[in-house]
Amino acid sequence: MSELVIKDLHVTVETDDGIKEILRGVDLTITSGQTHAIMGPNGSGKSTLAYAVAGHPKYTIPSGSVTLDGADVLDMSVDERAKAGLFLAMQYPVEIPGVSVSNFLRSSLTALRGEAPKLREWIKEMNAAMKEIGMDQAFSERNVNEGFSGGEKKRHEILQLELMKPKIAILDETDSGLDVDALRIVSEGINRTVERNNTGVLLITHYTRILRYVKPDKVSVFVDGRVVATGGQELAEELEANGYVKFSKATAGA
Amino acid sequence: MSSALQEKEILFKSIDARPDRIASSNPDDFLVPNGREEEWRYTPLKRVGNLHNDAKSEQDITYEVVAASGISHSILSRDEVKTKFLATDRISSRTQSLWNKALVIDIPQELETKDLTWIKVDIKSGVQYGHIIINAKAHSKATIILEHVGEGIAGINCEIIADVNSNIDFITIFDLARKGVIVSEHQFVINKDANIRSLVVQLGGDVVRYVPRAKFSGNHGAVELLGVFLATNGQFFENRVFVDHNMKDCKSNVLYRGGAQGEGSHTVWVGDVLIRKIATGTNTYEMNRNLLLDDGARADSVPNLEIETGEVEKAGHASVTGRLDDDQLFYLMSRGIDEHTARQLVIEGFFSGIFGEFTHPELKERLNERLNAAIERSYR
Repeated sequence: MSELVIKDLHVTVETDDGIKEILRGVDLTITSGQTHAIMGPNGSGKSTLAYAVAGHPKYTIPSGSVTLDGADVLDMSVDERAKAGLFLAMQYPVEIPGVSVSNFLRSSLTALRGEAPKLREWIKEMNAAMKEIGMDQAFSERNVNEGFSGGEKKRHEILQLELMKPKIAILDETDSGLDVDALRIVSEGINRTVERNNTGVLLITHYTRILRYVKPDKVSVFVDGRVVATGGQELAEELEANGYVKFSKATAGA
Repeated sequence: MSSALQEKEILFKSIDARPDRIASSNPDDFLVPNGREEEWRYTPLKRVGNLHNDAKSEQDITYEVVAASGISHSILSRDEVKTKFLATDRISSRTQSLWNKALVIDIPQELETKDLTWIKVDIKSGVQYGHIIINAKAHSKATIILEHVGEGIAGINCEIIADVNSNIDFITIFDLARKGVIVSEHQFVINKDANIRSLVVQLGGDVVRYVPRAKFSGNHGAVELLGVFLATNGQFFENRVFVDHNMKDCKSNVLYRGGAQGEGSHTVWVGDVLIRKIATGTNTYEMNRNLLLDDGARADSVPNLEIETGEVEKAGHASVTGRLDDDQLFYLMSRGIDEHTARQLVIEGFFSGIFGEFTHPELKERLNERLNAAIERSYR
C-alpha cells in the first residue's frame, strides 16, 4: 500500500514579469489502486502540479511538502523520484532525436530495476506490451516521439506506464488530442495498470469524456492553483452539465 | 617568373568582399598571420606552437599502416614524391615545404574491398610536419581511416585523389592528448562518376584546425563532407570547408554536427560552396548544427554559398545552433535515467545521424568508443 501525500504545496515560476505563484496551497492524497481525477479549466495550474511533483527544474517550491510513503519527494532528483515509484505521463511528450524507443525503454528499465533486463525476455516483454496498446513493433526502432502523431505519443506514454509499473502515476491530460478509438485504447491501458500493478493514479483532465472509460474513485475540482471541491463521480457529472463557472466564482469571491 | 609563382593559382573570388585567395607551394606567398585576417580571426594563434610563423621541424613524422589486402603503402622522401598540392594558407604551405617523409597509399584499379585500411599517426612531443597521398585508381572501392593521436604539434596535409568511378570512404579522426595541436588541409579531387564520402571526427587535442577542400576533375562526381566534433574543457576545434563546383552535374553534401561544453571551449565551422559558371546541374547542400552543452562554451558557424550560374539543380545552406534541451533531459530522467546517462543519450543521439552512415561494425564500434570517452571526459 503506497501513498503520495501533497500538503499545502506552493509553486512559483519565473516569468518576464517577475515571479508568479501558480500553485497556492494544494492538499491531495493519492493511494494505491485508487484513481483520483483532477479537473479544472485551462490555466488553473493542473500541469504545474504534475511537473512540480515530478521535479521539473523550471518550478520553484517555496513551501509545502510532497511525500511518498513518508519519504521526502522534493528532496529527490528527478530520476530518484522515478526510482521511488513515481511516474508522469506528459501532455506533450518530448522528441529525442537519434535515441530509439527500444534503447530508451531499456535504459529506463535498467535504471528502475537496478539491472539490465535479459535481452530475450526483454524483447518478449516489450513486444507483448506494445501489442496490448496497439503499437506496431516497428515503433521500437523509431526515435523517441519523433514524427509520432498525437495519439502515438500518448500510447507511447501509456506503454511506459505499463512497463514501468510505478506505485503512483500522474497522467497529465493523457486524453487530450485523442480520437474516440485512441481514447478507448489508452483508457484500457490505464485500467490494466491499476488492476495489475495496484498503481495509484492522479488523472488530470480538462474534459469529462475520459471518465466514461476510466472510473475515478474521487474527483477534485482545481481552480486558480488549488483544490476547491472534492467528491465522487457525481461531481464530474455536475461539471459536465454546468462547467467550471460556479467554482471560478467561488474563488473569485473568496 | 619564379617557379613559386608559376605554381600559384587564383582559387576563387570569395563573397563578403574578401580578396581573391591564392594557392601556392611557397610559404612566402602568405604573410605571417596576426589573427585579424578573416582566415585566422577565430584561431588562437598563441596556442599553435608557432606553426604559422617559424616553427622548425624537430623530427620526422611516424606513420603506422594496417592496409586491407591489395592496397599498398610506402613512405617516400621529397624527391620520390610527385605532387601538385598547392596549399591555401600560411600553415599548410609551411607544412608543404617542411615535410621530410610522405605516406603514399595506392588503391589499385578495380580493387574493391570492404576491409578497413587504418593509418595511425602518433604525434610525438615537439614539432613535426607530414604529407599523405591517397590514390584511388579507376573503379576501386575502399575505406581508409586516418587516425591522429599523441601530444605533440603537427602540420599534416593530405591529398585524396579519386579516379573515374571510384568509391572511397575516408574517415579522419583527431583524438590527440589534451595538449596536442594539429593543423591539417585535406584536398579531395573527384573525377568523373567518382564518389568520396568523408567523415572527420574531432574529439581530443588543444587546438585542431581542419581545412577540407574538394574539387572535381570530371563531370558527375559526388562528395560528402561529414563531420562530428565535441570540444570540452577549453578545447578549440575549427573546420573550414570549401567545395569548388568547377564541373557539370556534380553533387556535394556538407553536414557537420558539433558540440561544445565548458568555459573557454570554442568550435568554429565555416562552410564555403562555390558554384562556378561552368558548373550547371550542380546539386549541393551544406549544413552545420551545433549543440551548446552549457553557458561557458561558444560555437561560431558561418555558412556561405556563392552561385555564378542560373542553372543549378539544387543549392542550399543552413546553420542551427541550440542548447541542450532541459525538457529532453527531464523526460529521460523522469523515467529513472540518471543525469549523466541522460546527457550521454541525448549527445549520442545528436551525433548518431552522422555516425549512422558508417555501418562497418569495427569502425562503428571504434567511433562510438572514442565519442563516449570524449563525453566521459567532459564530466571531469
